Amino acid sequence: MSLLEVENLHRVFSARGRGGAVTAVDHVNFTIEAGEAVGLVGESGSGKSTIARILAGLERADSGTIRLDGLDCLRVPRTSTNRMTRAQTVQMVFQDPNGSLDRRVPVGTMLQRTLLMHGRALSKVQARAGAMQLLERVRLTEREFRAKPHELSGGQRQRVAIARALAVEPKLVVLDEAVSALDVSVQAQVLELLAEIQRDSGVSYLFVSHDLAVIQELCTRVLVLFRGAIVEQGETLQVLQAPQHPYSQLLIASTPGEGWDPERVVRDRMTFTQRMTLPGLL
Amino acid sequence: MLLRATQLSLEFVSENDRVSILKGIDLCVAPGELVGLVGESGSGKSTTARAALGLYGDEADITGSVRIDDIEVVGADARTLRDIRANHVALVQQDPRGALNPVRRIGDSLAERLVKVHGLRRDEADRRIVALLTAVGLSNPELRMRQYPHELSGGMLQRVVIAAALSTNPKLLLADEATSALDVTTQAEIIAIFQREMRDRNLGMLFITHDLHLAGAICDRIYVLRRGVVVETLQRPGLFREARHEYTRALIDAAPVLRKEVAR
Repeated sequence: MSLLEVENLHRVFSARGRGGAVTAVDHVNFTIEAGEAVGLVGESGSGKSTIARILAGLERADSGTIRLDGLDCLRVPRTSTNRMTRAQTVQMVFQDPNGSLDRRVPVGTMLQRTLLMHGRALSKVQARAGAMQLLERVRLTEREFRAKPHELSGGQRQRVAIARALAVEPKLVVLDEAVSALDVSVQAQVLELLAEIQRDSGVSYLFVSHDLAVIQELCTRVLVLFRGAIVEQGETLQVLQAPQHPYSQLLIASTPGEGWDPERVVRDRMTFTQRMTLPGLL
Repeated sequence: MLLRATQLSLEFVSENDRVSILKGIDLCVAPGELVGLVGESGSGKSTTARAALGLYGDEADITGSVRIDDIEVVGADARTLRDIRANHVALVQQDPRGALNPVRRIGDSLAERLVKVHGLRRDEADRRIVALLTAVGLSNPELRMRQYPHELSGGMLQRVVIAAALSTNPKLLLADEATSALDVTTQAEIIAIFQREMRDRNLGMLFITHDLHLAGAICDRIYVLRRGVVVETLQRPGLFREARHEYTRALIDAAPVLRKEVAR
């Protein structure tokens, strides 16, 4: 049995006043093994974040099942024990740490509270040691322990968000565009850190991004999402080098590099959209 | 030259502190040229663009020179700055929502300065805006003009902002991470619009980005900025292939490359 099993996941958003509903997640099936990093790629509006948020319990699904380490992810947790269990199974790291860290609380205090609340530390002394350990794991120091989020750089803040996600030793961490706002050198450091944490702890990742190159750095397997449906999945290198679905081909050809021609990408995109609107071709 | 910075330096000044952000920058953009400015966060990319527009007041101590279309910006009076911003240069930033008033209709936002600054009648302004919205690839431009920013997607809004930038017929465009928040296919569409408008209008463009692959794919020349210093200037056709400076090499190594070619 896989760590995460998603079956027939479906979610429709009703658009008020637009005369139509949007199918954000369209009968999606996938699995993640223990210790595996899986990428989820697609354009804006393809449903990437909706899937991520459903997994973390921030969004509901209309139908389908999600089993994560024996836990039914779609059942709304009614008691605080259930909520704690869920938090200890799956954690999420968002794109913007400014929005997910409390700006009034020093980083060390925040981590200590998390450890105490989840029973990962039984005394303040233990909590302090645990918080320092977490910070060291993301290569931060005593200085950052005392700092509030606004005193840190973007890369440091994102490391803090990762440290907090790891505090409860979750089975799965969902990273939603977690390195997209960082510039290339900081991005490379955070990706390396994520890979190292995974090797050491055996945690699984669902890594959501619109950037295939970043996914390829971290993930052995990739899921390609288009209009809410997974149109292709497989080993990352295999998908990159021999994409089967026209959308994966378009996505790969659109990535800037040597000989990149925006006019050609636009033409390809138009041809693709025309093909998509003709039924029976895909 | 449309843009020429000569020994441009900038320090932020507060009561008890001076922080040096730009340290003697030299760069230029000619008509029809697409020039890249790359570097890490905090290297001074955006500060260079903002200084070129004369957007800093007393908080910054600026020395050296920036000339836009041969008009000096450093030390210019309000009237000159107004003329430069109204007729010579336009800025397109990363977040189009920050550039548009959320509670005004798009048509009203775009027409305002054409009427108030450029002396067009409202119907003339509207006709120009419709033509531009069409040119940047927006369907149903009359409807878009009646809509509010929240009703459009990020890619559509960025087109609106580009149309607004082009509406005053500037000669120089400053694009500050203008496509960084967009996904790859939308990014390609926006770049295609930039390139077409540059060709048609003989525009010059300073393209600020942290995406080295994108800069390498489209720019004629690239300045590499590090802590307020241009450490290397790369020319077509070699660009990054001929990068010598270790900082440039480190940036290139840090940027993930899509391994789409099968290794042989």
